[in-house]
Amino acid sequence: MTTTDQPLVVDRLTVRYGKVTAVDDVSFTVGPGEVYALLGRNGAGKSSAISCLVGQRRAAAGECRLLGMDSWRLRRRAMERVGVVPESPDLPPGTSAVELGRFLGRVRRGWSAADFGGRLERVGVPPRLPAGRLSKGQRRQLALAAVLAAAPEVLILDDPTLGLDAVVRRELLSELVGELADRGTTVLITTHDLTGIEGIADRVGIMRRGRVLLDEPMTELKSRFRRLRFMPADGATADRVERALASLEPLVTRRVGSQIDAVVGRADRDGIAALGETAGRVEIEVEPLALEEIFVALCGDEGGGAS
Amino acid sequence: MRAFLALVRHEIRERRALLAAAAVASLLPVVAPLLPSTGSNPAEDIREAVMWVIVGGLAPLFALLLGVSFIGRDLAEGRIGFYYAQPLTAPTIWFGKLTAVVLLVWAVEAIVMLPTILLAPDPVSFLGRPSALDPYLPEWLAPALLPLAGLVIVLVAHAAGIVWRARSAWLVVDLVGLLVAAALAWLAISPFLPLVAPDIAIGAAWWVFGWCLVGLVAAGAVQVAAGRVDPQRCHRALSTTLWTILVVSTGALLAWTAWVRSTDLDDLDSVDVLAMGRGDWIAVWGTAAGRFDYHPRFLVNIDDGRSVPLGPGTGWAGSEVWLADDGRTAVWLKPDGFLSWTILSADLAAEHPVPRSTGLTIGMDWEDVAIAPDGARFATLEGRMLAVYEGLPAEQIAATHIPEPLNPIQITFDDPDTVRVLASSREGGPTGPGRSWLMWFDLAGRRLTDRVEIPSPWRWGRYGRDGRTDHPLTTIAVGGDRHVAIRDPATGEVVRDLGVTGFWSVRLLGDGRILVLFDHDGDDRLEILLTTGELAATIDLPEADQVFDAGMIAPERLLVGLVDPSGGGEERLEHLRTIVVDLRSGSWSLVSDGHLPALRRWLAWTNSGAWEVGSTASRLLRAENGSLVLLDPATGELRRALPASG
Repeated sequence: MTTTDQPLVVDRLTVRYGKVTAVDDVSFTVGPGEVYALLGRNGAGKSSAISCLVGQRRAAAGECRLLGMDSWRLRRRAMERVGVVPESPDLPPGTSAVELGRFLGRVRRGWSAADFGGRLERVGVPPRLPAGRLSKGQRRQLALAAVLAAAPEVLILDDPTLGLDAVVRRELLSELVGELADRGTTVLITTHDLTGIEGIADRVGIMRRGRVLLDEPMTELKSRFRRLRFMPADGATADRVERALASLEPLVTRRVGSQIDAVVGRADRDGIAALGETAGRVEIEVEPLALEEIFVALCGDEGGGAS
Repeated sequence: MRAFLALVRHEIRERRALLAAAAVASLLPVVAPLLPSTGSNPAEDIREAVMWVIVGGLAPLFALLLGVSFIGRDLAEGRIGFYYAQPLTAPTIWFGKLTAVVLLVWAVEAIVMLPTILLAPDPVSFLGRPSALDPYLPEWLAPALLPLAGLVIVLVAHAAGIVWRARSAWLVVDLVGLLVAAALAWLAISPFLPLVAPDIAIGAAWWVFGWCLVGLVAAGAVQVAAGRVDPQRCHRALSTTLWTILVVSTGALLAWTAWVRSTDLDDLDSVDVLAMGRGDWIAVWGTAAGRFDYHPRFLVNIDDGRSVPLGPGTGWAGSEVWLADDGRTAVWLKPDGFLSWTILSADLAAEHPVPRSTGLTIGMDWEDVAIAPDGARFATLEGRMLAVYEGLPAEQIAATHIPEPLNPIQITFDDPDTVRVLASSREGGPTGPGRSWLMWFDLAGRRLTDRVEIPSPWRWGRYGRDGRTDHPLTTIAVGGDRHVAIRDPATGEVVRDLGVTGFWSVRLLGDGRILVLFDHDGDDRLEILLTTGELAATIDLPEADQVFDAGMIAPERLLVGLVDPSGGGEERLEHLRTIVVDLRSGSWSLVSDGHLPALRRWLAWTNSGAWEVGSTASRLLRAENGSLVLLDPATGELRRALPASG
């Protein structure tokens, strides 16, 4: 399968607001059935990229393709097979779940009223209350139910857990895993719930200041990043360790007394061993990192470089 | 279509609270007559008045709110993406939402009106009855006014809402576009206002209005398609589309109106005579293909074809051209803005006559203009003010104020130093026993001299001067019974009582005799009177619907025009004939079947020079198709004069 045949393609995308470049030459693809987590701090450009990807905003440069279709020019056709849950639920505020279901049943192919109703019942969304009077979580559940009831081939979720409490967040993500695993749906998700997404995403892209810092499979990412803890005997040794660490291009280095903590993105066994040789006899602890820790190491100071 | 209908239904349902509000408001007219302060007014009148107040206030308010919000609010609050996330085309989104809000506005109007209509004495005819707006609107428009207003408000409010919410740099384009489109529309329409060509002005206004609607609808559609969720991009798409359409459409209108205004003499396909005098110069106006009611005027020399464009006529008062008795000077009015006219003149003795401004403007209260027999002076009558001018630019040499309660109507130069004034009073209103006066303004003494009273309220007095005896005569109808008498204007004495008559004309034949033509059904005839009023001869004329005296093409040979109705159906057709009457023998013969003499007695601004025996004017005939031909009295042949081609 070539890149352009992928269900979701972002190719050299640039988005500008006046003179401000929000997305700068960004590219990534999501394969069939893959769950892609697009991560980044607020203002990193994720929502702008998604807005272009779903054909709602025109790119200044580059292109986005959904299921092989240009998402700006062929938005309507693409939306027949794509479901979108935006960052803020944009449901018409005067419309109840029942009315929404009736409307979507007339405009969306493959709409399942039973799925829609069943899901609403499961998550406890009042069917006749206007969307404007639902809680934030209920609105998000309603939006998600409206999207899933059409059984889209591609699902784009822009921070679907935003503003939800931890319980609802877990439920929503685990629900998604079950639903999507059953259907083989391709998913692009942006979220700040890194712990929640860690067990779901197949691939991770991290954006910072409008650019993609990294784009790789979750397992690879997690195996690559390590925290190294050095406990040298004296300050002179600690100085040697710090100098030697530079060869591993640590993302974060912290020294407390003679103890040195560092996060590195190229933590292969040989490299660490060589570091030990260079620094002298130093005790080194090597720990794996959670996705959230990797993200903080990469984006926390807004100064780290791409690995 | 399925998605469109679903969206319309969804949008209406989303805003159904408005319908409930309208239903509540519709009860107010019903309960209004029960209020104690309504006095003794009929309940249906109170209901109707309150209903119109509510419809006039509520429907536009709802239209405004819906127009501003139906896309603009979703855009501003980040909810418009919901529609783009569905498999809906941009036109479906725009037209679906627009249709829904327009239907809502119309439904609000209907709901508010419904109880009042149902309670009206005759509900069926309630909406079909005449309204106060009827005289000013096309017949189809009055019932459509309310729905149309709703649509317009929704569209304008939408555009304004998008512009206001985006507040981008494109505001500058909006301002420039608005100014340019308004300026182009004004430049296109104003030359036809208010009297020059009202049909064109109204049509052009509809053109602009129609394109405004098209522009607003198209701009909204493009905005939704190209701007989507980006407010700035929406503003840009809306502005570029709207102003492009409006500037192009108003520019095209301006180009078309410029083409209309450039109508040349050769473009005319139908010509009417405006003024004729001594010599070969006549004033004409006419119509040209595709120019609707635009009537350009020209001075034309029938002999050599030279012409002077005079600008458009106004369709009624203000189109006149006055030719001096010697035929060497013309004075005319040119519409100048709203309800004012500039006075222009031309020296027809010049090799290439051109319009020259006199520097004078008169307002809408002007009554008459007169030019001296030698063309050196002209006089204007504005309200009660009579002023006489000479030279170019014109300088006032004398003026006087016609005293109350006289209303001056007509002015004529008796000679270069004397202006005769006809005035009337209206005691007892239009049907009361009004009176007329003849007065003379002495330019040297700068005062009104003699005054002759004539008991008549009717302004259409006719004058003639006997070329040989210089004896002036007038006929004045008496009262409202169409009783007519020929009077001596110097004394007001009755020369001959013509009795109660339908249509008539009187003029002097130049040798002291008076020619009277009676246009009576079944009794069309000529009477030749002596100066004393004594009947000298009667000549019966062929039967016709209209008969008129058209001048003498040769001594004792009078041209008479006859008009008969012909054809049928709704279109009024006329059959035209011209005969020549031998005044000595009393016999007549047909000159042309299909032509009518151009010279008419009722052309008040046709000066006495045209009535000279054998004048060019007297030989000019007009065909049914609107062309002018020149009669050769010797051979009876007709030569095409205007339009030169065709």
